[in-house]
Amino acid sequence: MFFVRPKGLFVILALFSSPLWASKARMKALNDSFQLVDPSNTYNNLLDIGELSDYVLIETGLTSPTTDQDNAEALWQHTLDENNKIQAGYGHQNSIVYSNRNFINTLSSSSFKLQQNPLHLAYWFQTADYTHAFSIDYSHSSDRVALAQEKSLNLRYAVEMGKWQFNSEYVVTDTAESSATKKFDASRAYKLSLLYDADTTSMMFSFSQSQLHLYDSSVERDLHARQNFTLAVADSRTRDENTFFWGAQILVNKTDCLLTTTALTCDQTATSTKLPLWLAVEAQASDMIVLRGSVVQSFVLNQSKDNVGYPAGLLDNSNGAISKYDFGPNTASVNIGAGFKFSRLTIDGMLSSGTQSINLSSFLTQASLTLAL
Amino acid sequence: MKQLLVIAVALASVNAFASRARVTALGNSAHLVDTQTVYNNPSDIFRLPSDYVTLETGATGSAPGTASAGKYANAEGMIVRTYGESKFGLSLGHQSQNASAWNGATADAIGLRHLATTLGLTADANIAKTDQQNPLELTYGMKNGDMNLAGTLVYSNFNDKQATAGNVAKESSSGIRLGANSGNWDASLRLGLSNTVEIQTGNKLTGTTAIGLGGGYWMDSMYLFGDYSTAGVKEQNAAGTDQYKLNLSTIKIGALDSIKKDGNELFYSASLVSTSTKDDTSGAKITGMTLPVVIGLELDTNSWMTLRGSVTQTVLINQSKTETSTATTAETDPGKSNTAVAMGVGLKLNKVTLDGSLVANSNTGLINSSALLANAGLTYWF
Repeated sequence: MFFVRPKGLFVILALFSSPLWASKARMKALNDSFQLVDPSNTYNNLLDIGELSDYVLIETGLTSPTTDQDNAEALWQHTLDENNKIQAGYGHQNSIVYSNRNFINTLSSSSFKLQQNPLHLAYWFQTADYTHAFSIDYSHSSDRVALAQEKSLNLRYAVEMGKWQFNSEYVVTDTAESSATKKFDASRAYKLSLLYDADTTSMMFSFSQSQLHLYDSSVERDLHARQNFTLAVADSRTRDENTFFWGAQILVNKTDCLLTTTALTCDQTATSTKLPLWLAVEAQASDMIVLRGSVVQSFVLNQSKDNVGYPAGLLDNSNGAISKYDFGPNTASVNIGAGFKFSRLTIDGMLSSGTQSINLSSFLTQASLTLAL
Repeated sequence: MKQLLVIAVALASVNAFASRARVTALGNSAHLVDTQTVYNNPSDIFRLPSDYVTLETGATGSAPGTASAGKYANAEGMIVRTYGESKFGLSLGHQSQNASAWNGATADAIGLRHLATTLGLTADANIAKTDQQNPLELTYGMKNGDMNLAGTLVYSNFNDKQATAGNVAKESSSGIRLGANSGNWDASLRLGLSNTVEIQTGNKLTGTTAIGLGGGYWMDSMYLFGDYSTAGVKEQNAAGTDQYKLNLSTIKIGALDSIKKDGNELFYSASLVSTSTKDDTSGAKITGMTLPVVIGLELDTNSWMTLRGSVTQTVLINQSKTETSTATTAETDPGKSNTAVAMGVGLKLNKVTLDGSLVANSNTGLINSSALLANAGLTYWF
């Protein structure tokens, strides 16, 4: 199973002997932990393409999603030869693009569309000393009567050198128009991350930055700058195909209000610093079933200071008014999921996420189907 | 020798099931050893089959000033690991009754911060809706010869430095639990060190006392148990005037008989429970005496599934009396019906156990697909 980052011979054994548990549901059940190797996580770490065997992954969801988690999408990966792989997908909502569009929609009560029919292409190859991966993600839609359109273009590059992995993402274009006058632009956002694997322990540092512009009748109405720093560590232990891991990360978010026509207090900053700690387990319940789950809670550090007054739910602890928390409100969360293997086919889903019941009327939510090729 | 054999049989047949659902399905019986009973007696970590990670489903705990989801409704998890002769544990999200705002209907489902509201006393509405925030518990256990000792530190904290008038500005709680067991006896001591909720330019709730002492002793198949607990809170307004000063004390003594065979268990117990809730400010008092009888069973239907259930009802003694400083306002002897049934199932799949309640609402008597496994909990045994 692909829980830790297998190397060398262990990679080969893992590829031929393990089912391909793979999906957004698996990632969510395991707290989206950064070190997980999963097809869904290749959108965060392109180099994981090299650690996965060929597959087709189909994620259930909405044709017209409202978030980056409830969308229908698919992903296909194919090995050209031992040093070259390609990946293609559609329907995936890019996390940076979604986050920025959702931010401005919530803040300004706008209705800019999410990415429409997004397309993803990636290429992975390895040389004697390095492993490289590139990807391009594109979406576009235009309603010429309602004068609503959206367009996005993301480029990613990743390189692996020994135990170090570097990922970069650049948003070349992220624009949307919701009417003849309203326009949104968050182009030139970027994200950099550095990951280090020390056998059972992984460490990661990432930094991302975006500037969000909102125009009305060609006049800039809103300008917000967002930055995120993350420093994370995770330790995994696997025995008899059962894996337990724990992780912790320091998350620092900073949002500057530089210009606004809403009721916010601008020329001010909202910051938050959190230290979530998570425990997770993925265990082989039987030959056909794997059960997985995680608990996460902010541990000791859960500060936020919002001098802007961002709307409730938009940022950590934002409540629509200027606020300052030295220790914020409850954050404990438990997710439980399951995977079912039928020969080369696996079905994954969530059994419980924020609810107390496992029920048959929604037995496997966020379900996905993976065929190992 | 006979005692050792009985103890060995009792411990060996402990199912590797662990969860709120199991404890609930078995009527919260005093003799249970479970990942949940660790929150009452930390030394139970030595009586469980192995190290574990346990996850209990539920919603993220409510924010201060937002109604509590109730007992066992919150998400929580715990890990216990062995290092040499010692064990360490970390728990995230567990709510303690004495520092919670549970708003249930029965005494064990009412949090101390909500008790005044339940009793109809004048209390700040936001205080009565404030659970512990991001509670954290650290456990350490060690062996001392034949004796297992363990202790737990409990901590929670919340501070809104920009709270507006009338809203919760601070919440904090801390406590210590100590436990010991050896052979056929066990004992626990629970101390609440602090319990505070402050409203910005408003009322303040402060814990006054919180002590719990419990223990049990096995004699062959019979378990004798007792528990004494006292907890108090007071709420003062901005001027420092007491709104109420509550003290709640409970004394419980009981006996249980357990019949085990082939890993299955049938037990029945009776206990005498005396409760007293008194408000020093108004002079109001509620006293009660009950004799609850619990019959429970836990059966291995096959190698991977266990069914369990219990019925609880007060028998013969069911007294309750409510008094103000001048008159008795309510008195029942005996009181109204309180028969309660709970059922659950545990699925044992290699090193993982998945437990849940089959009947989420005992008043409906339905096992249905829309809540097939309520109070679901997942435990991984290392």
